[in-house]
Amino acid sequence: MGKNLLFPPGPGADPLHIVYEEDGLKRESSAPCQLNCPAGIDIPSYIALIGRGEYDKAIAIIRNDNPFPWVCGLICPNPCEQWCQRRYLDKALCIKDLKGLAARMVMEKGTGYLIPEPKERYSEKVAVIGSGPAGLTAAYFLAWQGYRVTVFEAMPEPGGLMIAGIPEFRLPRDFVRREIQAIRDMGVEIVVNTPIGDEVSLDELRNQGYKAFFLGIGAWEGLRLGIEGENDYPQVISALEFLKDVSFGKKIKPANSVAIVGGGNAAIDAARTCVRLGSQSVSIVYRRTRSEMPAHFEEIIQMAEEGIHVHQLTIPSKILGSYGKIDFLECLMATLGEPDESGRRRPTAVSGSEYKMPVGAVIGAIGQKPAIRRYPGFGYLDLTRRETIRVRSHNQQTNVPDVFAGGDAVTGPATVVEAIGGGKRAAFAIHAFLRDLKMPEIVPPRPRTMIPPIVLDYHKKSFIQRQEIPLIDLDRRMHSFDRVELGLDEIAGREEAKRCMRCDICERCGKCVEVCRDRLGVSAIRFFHSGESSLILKDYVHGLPKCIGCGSCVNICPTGALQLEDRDGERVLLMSGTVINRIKLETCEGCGAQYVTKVMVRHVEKLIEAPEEAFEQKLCQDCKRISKAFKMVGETPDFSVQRIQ
Amino acid sequence: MSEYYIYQDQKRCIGCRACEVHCKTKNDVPVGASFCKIIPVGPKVQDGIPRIKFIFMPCFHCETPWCVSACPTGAMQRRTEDGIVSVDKSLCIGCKACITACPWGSPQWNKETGRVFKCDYCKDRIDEGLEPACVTGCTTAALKWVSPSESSSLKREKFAKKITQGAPTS
Amino acid sequence: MSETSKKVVYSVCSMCTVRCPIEIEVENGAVKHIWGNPHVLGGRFLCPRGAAGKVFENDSERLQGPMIRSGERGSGEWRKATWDEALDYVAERLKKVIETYGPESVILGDRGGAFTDLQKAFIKALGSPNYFNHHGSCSNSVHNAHNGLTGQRRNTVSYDWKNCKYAVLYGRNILESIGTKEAKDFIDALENGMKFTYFDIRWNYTAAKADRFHIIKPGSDYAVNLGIIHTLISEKLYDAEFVNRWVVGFDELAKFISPYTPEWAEKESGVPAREIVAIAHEMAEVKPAVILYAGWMTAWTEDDYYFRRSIYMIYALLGGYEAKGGLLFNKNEVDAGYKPLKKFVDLVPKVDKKRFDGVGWKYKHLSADYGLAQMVPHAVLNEDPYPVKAFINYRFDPLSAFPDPEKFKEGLRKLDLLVTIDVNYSHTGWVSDVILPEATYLERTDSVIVKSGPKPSLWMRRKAVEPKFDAKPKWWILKQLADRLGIGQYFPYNSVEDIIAFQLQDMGLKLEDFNSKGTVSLAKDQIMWDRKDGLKFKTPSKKIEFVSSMLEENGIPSFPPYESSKEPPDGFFRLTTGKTAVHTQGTTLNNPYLNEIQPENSLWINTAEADKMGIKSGDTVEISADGVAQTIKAYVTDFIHPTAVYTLHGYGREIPLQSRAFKKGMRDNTLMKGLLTVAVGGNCPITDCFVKIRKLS
Repeated sequence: MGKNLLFPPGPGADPLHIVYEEDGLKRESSAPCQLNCPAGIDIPSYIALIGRGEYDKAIAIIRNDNPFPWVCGLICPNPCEQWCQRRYLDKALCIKDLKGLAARMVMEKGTGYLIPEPKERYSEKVAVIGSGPAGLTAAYFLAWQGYRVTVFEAMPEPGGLMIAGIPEFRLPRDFVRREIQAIRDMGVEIVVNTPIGDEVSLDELRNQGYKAFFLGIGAWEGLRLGIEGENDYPQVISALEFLKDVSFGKKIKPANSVAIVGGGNAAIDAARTCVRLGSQSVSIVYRRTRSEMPAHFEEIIQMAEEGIHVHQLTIPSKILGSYGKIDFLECLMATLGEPDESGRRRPTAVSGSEYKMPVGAVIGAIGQKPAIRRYPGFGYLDLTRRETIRVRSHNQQTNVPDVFAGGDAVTGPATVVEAIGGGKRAAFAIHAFLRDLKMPEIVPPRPRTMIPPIVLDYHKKSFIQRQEIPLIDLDRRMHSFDRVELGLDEIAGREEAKRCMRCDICERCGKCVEVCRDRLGVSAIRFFHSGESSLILKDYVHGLPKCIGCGSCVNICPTGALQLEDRDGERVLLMSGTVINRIKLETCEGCGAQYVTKVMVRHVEKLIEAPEEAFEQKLCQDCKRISKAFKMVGETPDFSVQRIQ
Repeated sequence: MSEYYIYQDQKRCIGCRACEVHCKTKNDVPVGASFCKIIPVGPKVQDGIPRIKFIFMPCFHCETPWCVSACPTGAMQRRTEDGIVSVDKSLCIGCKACITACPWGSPQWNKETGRVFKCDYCKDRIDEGLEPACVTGCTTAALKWVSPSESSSLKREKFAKKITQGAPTS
Repeated sequence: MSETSKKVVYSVCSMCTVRCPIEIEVENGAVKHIWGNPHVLGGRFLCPRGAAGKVFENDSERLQGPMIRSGERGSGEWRKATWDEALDYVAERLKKVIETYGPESVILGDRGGAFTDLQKAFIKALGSPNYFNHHGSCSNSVHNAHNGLTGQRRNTVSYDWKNCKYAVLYGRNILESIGTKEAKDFIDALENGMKFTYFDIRWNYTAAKADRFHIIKPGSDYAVNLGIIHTLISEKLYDAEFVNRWVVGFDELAKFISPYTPEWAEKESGVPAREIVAIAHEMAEVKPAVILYAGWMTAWTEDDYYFRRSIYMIYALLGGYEAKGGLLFNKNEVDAGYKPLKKFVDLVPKVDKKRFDGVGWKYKHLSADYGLAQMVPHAVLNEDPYPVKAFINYRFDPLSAFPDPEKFKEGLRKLDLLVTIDVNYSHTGWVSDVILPEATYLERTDSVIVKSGPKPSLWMRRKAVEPKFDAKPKWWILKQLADRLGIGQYFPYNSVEDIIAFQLQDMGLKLEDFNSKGTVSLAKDQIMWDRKDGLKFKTPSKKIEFVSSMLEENGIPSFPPYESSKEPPDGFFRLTTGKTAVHTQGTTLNNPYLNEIQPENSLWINTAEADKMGIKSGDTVEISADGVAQTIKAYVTDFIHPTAVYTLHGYGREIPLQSRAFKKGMRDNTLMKGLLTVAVGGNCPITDCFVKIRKLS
């Protein structure tokens, strides 16, 4: 066990319950947010640091696992928040926006990111193909390890979807560029306008001395709608192509009236872009209902606010037009049947329900795949049925030993944070490959540090509401590409950080409940089941009225989350830094020590049915001995001189 | 009171604390806790010379021990055959109710194990026919182990009465 | 878990230098408990320090391997070294010193005690006469006083507590500064009806059991004794037969004593004359079964030499030598009819060189067995009488034991080499160039020693457990050094078994004889010499010389007129120090269990004096002398002489690696400025230290 733990287990706890590494941190994270973060970021620690106003340190913690705190702070779909235990008390924390706040504080008000020094200097060169989040993340971690990294990008600017996909009103380009610059500052070379796989093959790069490759080429090829008329009109466009064009300056509205087919983020991004380009009528056409839409909840809300109509349970069947221009999108109504392999209920067209939707353009946004077939240079890679690159799970290695891959090219259309996770895993696998080390195994994320919690009282903690994220004015939203979500300001952010339950400390094992209820028979501390396998201390709301302050829970707590402190006449019980109870202490009449809680004395009095006078004089155990000794020889106790002779 | 007791000869005791150290050594008691303690009472002038008494305070192993009544888990036990009161450490949860209950300050907190422990008259030694470590190690043989065979019930009662002067009950 | 392995090892304790016989219970290679050796003591009783030997053994805050300093002397910067590296380091520097300045420039300071043969052999083999030990801060005046009177050392006689009927103790806190057997014997004697009178400058646990107790003026014990002698002689209460047979100079004493009446003594000491007379009467009534404690590990004042002489003179007057209940001559193996136990020191040719400390030429009446450690700084700093350049320090800590450590350190800093061999960190070790860790007394076997006494026996310290850290036994360390210095031939052994075999070779005994009891008895019963003709005094006259030929020859008067002890100047107090049953001065302060019982010292101060300064028990006070100031908690009591203050010696450790003891309490010897001198008895006048007290708000 590591020494000098910030949260030492209670002395009566099973010392093997939690495994600590040499550095004094847990071998495995116990925080659901971190465990469910695709990049494995130590979320509780950086939130705690934000709460203390230590933004630089917060960013350093994040950038241990993710070089794009700012990007993620704006557009991450935050799977962490779905696992946030605070949601069982009221609402999850705004984890995404806290991250965004930290990045903004460091980038705009502080001195910018700290550029890490390489841990070693190796001679091997590594080529990264594609400069999206996966490729740049791989480059970042490889450079940090000490490799010379060149990133090849086909487009005129690096960033992949972050530059050429996600609209500016969600992700201002300046933020992306500054985070990419921080990667360049580590010595990573980025070569743009240089597609690999076509004219320049991997073998050529091998000949130039590159010893390993990371493919992060994304999934840019839109899936076809597969309906009549799709190929007949230039106004039928794919969402990613559309968004890319707009990103690179071609800000032309497709039509006054646009239908976007699909329910994912790309669909909504395209729809909202159309609104901003001046389209009068923008509709989403989706086969299922709003609640099945894979796009972020906030995006769906914001889309509605911006006047975009969703045609639910609607299946496009035909594109109709005249003179080379679209007039209508013909659709069928649908009902939902049995769930399909994705777990969502399968839509079934209702025959005879056709109707025509007058539109001037149709944007297909039903999915993308890697454009791998366009690059014969990659032809020898194994692909999946969905035409994504097949890799070994967890180390991202393809069937070609020196080629690794990650991001949408492997997962199909997914999130930035998943791409970051893949790029990171690949970087460490490439390091192992080049150094001839054992390939990394599946390891759950570890805490990066342990930050003291912000101490506050239970009622205060439980009554802090989740912060609302302010948006810019709706009118401005509809006429400009200005960033919509303004994020948290510093005051709100630090308040929000206080809401964190610090699941990195308490593992919710319930030993405290067991001892208090089953062994002691007091039942003062209670956890409630929340979700499938999680417990949560509900007593944050009303304290522990039945607690006698004996400390058995603290004594048995294997994580050290529960702590006792005697101060200012009170025994304070803390749960992960939150004061969950305060009990008045008795003062020893002999030495003045505050040695036991008043309720404990009453509790024991009742148990032993002692005569009242037995506890009349309040003495700590040492002074009881002194008092008895004096009384045994008929003297009046003198407590003062005992210790200074 | 148990069947046994430790008699302390005030005339022989020099307050050297060998009893405390032998006890701690034998029972591996960490710093901070003590199963027995010498409490000096004095100096007080008697016939022109200041005298001092060194009161040896082990656990006196009460007849009706409050520590046993207070224990919620049954960890604190009184051995029926001889009345020795001791802690079954596998049952102790560290609630310290016994420490609060005992008027003598006998049960001790073991901060290393998170459990209570206390004087058990070195019952492992007793069971082997030996005497408690405090008695065996006493520098001047001031402590004497009195076993049932050596003591009449009258003597024990007298001792108990002396001990319990000023105590509520015991 | 495998089966537990248990064994019992009989050995000799080393938690203090009383060296009690012990029984070590060993379980699975670790110490389980340490008791007194019942075969010798009659029970398993053992003092608290002895009992705390187990936590000492298990403590990690003790020396763990050879260390060579990497910073300035005393900077506390060390590097770990291998044994070869450290031994080579020491040997090379010793060689260089010897080549440049001669072998006498190497001195060896020893803690002293019974196991000194190898250290003595080592320094002698180097060709240096300069062996000395800590007795200058300890019992030098007692040793030398007895030597002057009887021609033999203090410890050639022992007290027959068993048969004693009357005891007088002078500041000998026998029930707090304890040896296990002595304390037990003393209590047994009290139970057997022994009466006892106690003089001290303060009350203590010993006083609490006294029949007569007087808080006397500091330094006036001698006056009390003169009053007693006056009574014994003037009332003819002495044993005339014994005096006539064994005493030289009685008439001179009688003449000298005439002005020192009990009434005079009352004025000097504050003890009422009638009390002094009563004490003399009580003694005379039960003579010779009287013990007057001659002082134990006591260095007091400029003239306590004469006070110690007066004690032994009272014995002579009472016929107390080789007397039941008084003093018994200690008999050795030869007295018991054996050939002598062989010593390594005897293998080495005699060194005929002048000593560095003046003993034998400047101080002819002082014993070279002990030497004068307090002369080290003078000799080093002034190269007087010759350069002293290397100091081998074996378990000796003059910076803790002697007055004025700053002055002592000044001397040590000028050495070319200071090497300390010890089991513990010490203040002197801390300023050394090299520390060589000795295996603890539980981890090593030492040579056989003769425990001389009325019933002599052989004792042995035996290894019970393997060294916990990278420490080695003394015999190995000295042998390694000797080999490197070309004096290996004087250490003709390869194992401790070889050493024992060598020692016992003429006695017809072997190592195995120690197995069952830990000791080998050399006599069936007490050996008693004939009081008429069999007493073996080693003076030129073979008698007790009240007029000492040794003193007179060296121009030192046997009966100088009495001089009152120094009075503290106005506003000053005399600083006195003492000991507790739970500590061996500084060496045990970091022991977890002993530290727990007595972590700090306090300053005893008389209530009336404290009231004047508004000091209450528990207040923090400043104590200062000659520009040195320390702080300490006050203990205010009626039971201390108003001119004195008192504290426990040895506190205020300044070794950071001893975390429990570091800077706890007050370091008394730092206040004893200017007391690194040689009093007439060879002691430092440690209690001639006057301090100022001030309450800190």
